[in-house]
Amino acid sequence: MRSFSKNKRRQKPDTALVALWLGIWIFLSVFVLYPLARLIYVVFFSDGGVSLAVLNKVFSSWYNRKAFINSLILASAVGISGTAFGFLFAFSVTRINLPKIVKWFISAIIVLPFVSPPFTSSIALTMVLGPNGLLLKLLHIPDFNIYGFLGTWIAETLTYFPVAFLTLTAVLQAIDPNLEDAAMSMGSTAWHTFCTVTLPLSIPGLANAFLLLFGSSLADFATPLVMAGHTFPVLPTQAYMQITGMYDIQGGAAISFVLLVPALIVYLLQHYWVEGRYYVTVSGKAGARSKPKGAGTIAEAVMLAVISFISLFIIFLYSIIFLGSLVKVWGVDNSFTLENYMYVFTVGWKAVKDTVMIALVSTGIGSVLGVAIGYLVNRKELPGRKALEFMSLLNYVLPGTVIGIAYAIAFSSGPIVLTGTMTIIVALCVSRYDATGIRATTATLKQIDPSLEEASLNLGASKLTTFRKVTVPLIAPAIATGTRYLFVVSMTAISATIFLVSVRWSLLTVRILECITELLFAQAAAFSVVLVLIVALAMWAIRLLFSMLYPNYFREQRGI
Amino acid sequence: MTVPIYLKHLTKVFYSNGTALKAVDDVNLQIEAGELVTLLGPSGCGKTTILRMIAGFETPTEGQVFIGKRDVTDIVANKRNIGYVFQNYALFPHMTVFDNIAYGLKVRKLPAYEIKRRVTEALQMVSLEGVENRFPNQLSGGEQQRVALARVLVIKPQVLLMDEPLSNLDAKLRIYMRAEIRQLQKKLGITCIYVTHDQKEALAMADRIAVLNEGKVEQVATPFELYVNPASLFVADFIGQANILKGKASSIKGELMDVLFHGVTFTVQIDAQRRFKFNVGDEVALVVRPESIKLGNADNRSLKGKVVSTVFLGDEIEYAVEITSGDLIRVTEPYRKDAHLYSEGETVGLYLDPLDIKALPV
Repeated sequence: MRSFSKNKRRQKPDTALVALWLGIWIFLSVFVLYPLARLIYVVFFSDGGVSLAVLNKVFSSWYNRKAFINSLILASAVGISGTAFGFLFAFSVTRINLPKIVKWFISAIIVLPFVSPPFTSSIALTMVLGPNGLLLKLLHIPDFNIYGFLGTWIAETLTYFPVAFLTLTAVLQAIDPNLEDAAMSMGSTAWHTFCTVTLPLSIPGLANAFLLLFGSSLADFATPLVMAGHTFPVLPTQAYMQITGMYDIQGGAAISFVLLVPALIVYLLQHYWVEGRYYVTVSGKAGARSKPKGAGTIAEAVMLAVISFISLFIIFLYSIIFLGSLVKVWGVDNSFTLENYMYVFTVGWKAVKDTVMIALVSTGIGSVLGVAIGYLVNRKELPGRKALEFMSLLNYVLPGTVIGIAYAIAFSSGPIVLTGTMTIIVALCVSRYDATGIRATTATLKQIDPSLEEASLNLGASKLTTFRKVTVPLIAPAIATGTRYLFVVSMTAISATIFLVSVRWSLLTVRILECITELLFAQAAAFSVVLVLIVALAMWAIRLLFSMLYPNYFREQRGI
Repeated sequence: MTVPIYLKHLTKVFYSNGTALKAVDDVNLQIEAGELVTLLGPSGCGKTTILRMIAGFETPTEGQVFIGKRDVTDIVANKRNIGYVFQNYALFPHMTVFDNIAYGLKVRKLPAYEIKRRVTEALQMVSLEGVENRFPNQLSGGEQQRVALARVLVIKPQVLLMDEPLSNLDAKLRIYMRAEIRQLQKKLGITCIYVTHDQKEALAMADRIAVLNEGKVEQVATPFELYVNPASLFVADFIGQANILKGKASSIKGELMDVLFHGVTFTVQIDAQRRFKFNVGDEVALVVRPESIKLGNADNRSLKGKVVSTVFLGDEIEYAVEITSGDLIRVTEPYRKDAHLYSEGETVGLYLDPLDIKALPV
């Protein structure tokens, strides 16, 4: 028996790899851990020691306590309604035979909220149901008040249900239609099959969608700021008011910190409870797939009626935004004008320029970083991989308000001062929004057998050549996804960035918010339209870029 | 130029969550130039890990790998000039067949006309022409297999490593391809290590077979030798089918040993090298192949048993017989027109030819 202690061989560390690894650790330490540490310090250290004084002070106010409860109520309501809408749409697309054009139409509607600035549904709702609202005039109910819980709830549901739709579409597609066939062959009706097979199998997906929406609503800052008014305070807006209205950064930090607790609970539930509960019904070779079964004629008719109504309403809202950007004063003087766009390109031009600049730089840095982190964590045996993966997703998982306040505190004093610079906004966008790229890269790499990379090495290619010629082309779709997401959210973000803007660097979303608070809805609408157009243009450009770089990117099946 | 492979004290320990798993345990193996050796064993026996260490995808915990006279243990995978065919073929899905095969040549910076010539030649070698511009997912499993083979042969590797290359093909194609691969290997005279868990494939292709169990080499021998003279119970059980009867050595005289099994004494031959492993009074395992047992009427020279199942397979008849010791014995008889088919429940005598019995220490 030979002993293993002596002469043990170790793989030689790669200097470039180690340098990159260290670089990422430093980046994440400075832009993820450090701000959070400073936030926690501000909340828990006062009068020279650890104390709960700050938290106590904040929550001695009934208004703040009410905000906490309101936040939870709103998040639950949005979670339930959004998941229900998402399921209706997902079921219709995956299980009912709809004409192609209708499916295309639905996916277009689903994409709209993703590429719009966060206020879009709020602005539109205000224009329709707010003071001087279009529908109110048509229906002759002038006293109707949209502000408060109702308006926030409707606006957030419309903004976030596409998230539930995407989650549930994936879940429903993974349910083997043979199971439904089996139920039907045993004499079950379509509706009974739906209730006893399809719906129960979707429960983990529904739970996941609910948690996702709950988290999104909890962290949403933009919608309540416009829609909630004074009667319905929620935590993110309260934190903002505390800082901008009362110049009490410590109080704001404390309020945002309270937001962390439910956000973390939701995240943990999602990862350790829901993910283990998915029923796996597809494995390896699927047999012949049969035609989708619906849910019975009556149920289908009801479903289609509901989704048609919702779809039309969404289209109506978006058309209102577009129309609203072309009139003088919405609801008062409805004559056609291009003044609002003139306003965007003169007064608002700096914001447009700054936002595009920040989005471009963030997208460039973030997509490279996302691929690097995803690749290193999944393909290289380096120390602390799990910790690094967790850290890289932390800024994304936590509510934007928390991160924004943490950044504002951390980089306004101390060793690193970045207040008012472009660096601070870019660093936030990169560390917060590269998460999608990391996740997409991870998911794609898990599907790519390492033997492909080994085959390349075996044929004599170096590690770098292997990475360039084999790995990158294969994960190109994931890189494209990450890049698109980074650009969109860098353009539309507000909840975190609003704490970081300055005279020198302004953002489109912040300008939209200013317009709304000054009741310049037409200008706000014009800004929104311009923003959507820029995002659409960028999507197209990114698609073109990737299809040129990796011509096989669009090949439908990739086999093996 | 064809070269031998030499594995010296090759060991691999995997560490996960604080526990160490010895996947490969002090393997010593010499593969001659131009020889095809299969590594055969159940899944998890370390056969693929050995192959991956030779290719340089894994670093041995201990020991060395020699290709020819060169110690390649510390040489990175892309400098070894070894051909490796993967179980899943590992064809690059984003490249055409031509680009897949040309990959290794482009890395070596050969001129374009030379690349084109050699790719064409490689495709001819595996009898696959006219698919240069297709993508891997547009090919059948057998065609993908050929492309994978062409892709490694085109770089003229010193040795060829194959990791269960046929396991994703259907049964008929597997038999066809194994003959073709063997022919090609002989023609090129390339030293080859072929990993499989399919004993028929190993027996059909190999010059020699190395049987592995739990990271250790159990026996290295020609297919014939392995079947006739298994060195251990594991090998006897793994190669072909074997009945294993546990009896007691009652006397040993020279190369003959008497073994008592449930009242019947079998005189078996033991070869000189194994002589010292047996002592009178020890428990001894008797390995009997199902086809070397004859059924007849029971007498005092035979074991007595009752037929539990009879399966007619066309070319042979397979019986399971429960003998008085309680052991279930498998017997196969070749089909003859006048064969007697014993029915289930019938009492029979089992006649074992002492020359076909292999004694092994327990």
